[in-house]
Order: sequence, then C-alpha cells, then structure tokens
Amino acid sequence: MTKPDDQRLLNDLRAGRSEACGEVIRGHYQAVYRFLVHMTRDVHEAEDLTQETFAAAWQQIGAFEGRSTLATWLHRIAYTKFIDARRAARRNARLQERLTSLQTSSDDPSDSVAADDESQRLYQALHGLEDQERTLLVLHYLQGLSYREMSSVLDEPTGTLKWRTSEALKRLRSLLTDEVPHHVR
Amino acid sequence: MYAEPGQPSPNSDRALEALEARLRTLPAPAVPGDLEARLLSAIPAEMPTLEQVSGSRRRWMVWAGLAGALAAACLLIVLSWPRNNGSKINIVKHDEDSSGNSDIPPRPESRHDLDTMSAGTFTWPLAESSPMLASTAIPPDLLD
Repeated sequence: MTKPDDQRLLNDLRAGRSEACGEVIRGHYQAVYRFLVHMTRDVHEAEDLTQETFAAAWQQIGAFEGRSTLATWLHRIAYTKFIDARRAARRNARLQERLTSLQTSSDDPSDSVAADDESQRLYQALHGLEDQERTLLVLHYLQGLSYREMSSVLDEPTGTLKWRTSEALKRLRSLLTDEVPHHVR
Repeated sequence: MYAEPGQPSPNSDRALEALEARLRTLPAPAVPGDLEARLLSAIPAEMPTLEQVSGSRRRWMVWAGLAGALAAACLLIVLSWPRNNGSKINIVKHDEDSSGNSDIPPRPESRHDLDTMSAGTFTWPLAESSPMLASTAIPPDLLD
C-alpha cells in the first residue's frame, strides 16, 4: 500500500517531472544513507551507495508499480546495492584490505554518533553481528520498518523474518553481556 | 524463583524488551551536509516515463518471442529430418556389389524361395495306427 503522498509523487515521477525527484530525495535520502551506514560501517561507502541507490531508482521508476511504499522500495534498492558491493569486495582482495583498514579508521560511523558510552557499546555490538543479522535489526529497530515492509525489502516471509529478528536480538544481547568484564559480573 | 533449565527466564524477556527499546532510541549517525546537494545535482534531465519503460519491455518481449519461434522451427526441422536415408544408400550399394563380379557367391535361389515361401501345415509321413502295447518286462532267460 502506498501513502497518498507517495501516490502523488509517483504520478509526477511517471509523468517524467524531475521536480518530483527532488521531493523524493528530500523525503528519503537520510533514511537510505543511515541504513547504508549501518550496513557498510563506512561513511564514504555509504555515501557512494546512496548515490547509486537514487541513480538506480530514477532508472527503474517507470517499472515501480506502487505495491509498496517509496521508502520500502528505496530500501530494497539500497540493500541490493549493498549486497552487490559486498560481492564485488569479496572478488577484489585489494578492496577488501582497504575496507578492513577503513573499518578501523576514524570513518567508523559510530564515531559520528553523538554518543554516550552505552550507545557506543551498542553500536559496536551491532557491528559485531553477521551482515544478515545486522540487516534485520537495523531495518526493524533503527529504520522502523514493519515485518511486512521488511518482507518486501528482503523477499522473505514475515514469519521467518520475525523469528530471525528475535534470534538476532538474542545474539546481540549475548555479545553485549560477553563484553562485560568478568570481575564486574 | 528460579527458571526451569532450558526455559527462558522472565528476566531475559525483560532484558530483550529493554534492548529493543535501546535500539529504537539509538542516536542516528550524522548525515553529510553536502549529500543532499550531490543527490539533487545527479537527477537526470529526462526521466524515463512509464510509456518508455513499457515500450522497452514490449520490444524485449518481441525479441524473446522471435528467438523462441526460431528455436522451435530449428527443433522441428531436426525432428522431422528423414533418418534412414543413409542406410538405404548402403543397401543399394551392397546389391550392386553382389550382382557384379565380386568374390561373394550369389545368393541361392532355392534359399531365397525358402525365405519367401509361406510355411504350410506339417503332415507326418507315416500313418498312425492304434497304439502298440509292448511289454517292458525282461524275458526270464536273459536274467541268467
């Protein structure tokens, strides 16, 4: 289901009005960027992927049927871009090395968060999860997507997503408790 | 009160709920200030309209249909191609060889007749009389 605003924007976009693109960008680029920051853990890569996401969106906008919201659709494109980037990085060992060095550099997004220690710890634990687990928690808790919307983004049944999200949450908790020094416990 | 082994403790549910709440209120990372401007400047001058997209989709479908028809035609030709042409040529060649001056003797006519003749009903040459009863007992003089 699309929101009324989405429907109007979609009609404008389909009519080829480029002003509508500006509205879409202003309405959604922050959410897309934040999602990609959480996924890539690299602000520069997230910026590049955000630009690629919107470039792909303009190309595919004619084929968007409006069965989901624009936000969900953009998250889906962003997630596909992230997966493509990960595959390319795996193929390219040099890039992999660069990514590793970037992760330990000051480009870590958790540094840019106005952070108390608690939030820093939570971010670090979140980044310690597998990509798939992190995707679920980021989409549901940080991006605020419902399980139904997540199902559109990840192309998986809602029941499976609910279960996997709950498992990922348990794993996050275990990572957080493992971090606590033994003498404190 | 202690939780049963293997059962989640009530505290763990509460801890998970607290974790969910913390995740929801986690401060979002800062967004670069110039990103919006960069995205706006990358908007293409001409957006692909629905007609253009459906037109390209239609064109793709026409090409796929043509390729499919061509493949089906090729398959039909291959399937309907006469397969025993080659073997017929060989038979003719063999007959020509046997009729010529080769070392292979010609096939006897009688044998050819036997091959072609229809088999008649078989009749036993001796007339069958009433069954002869013969004693199988050994004559006593032979036992000595």
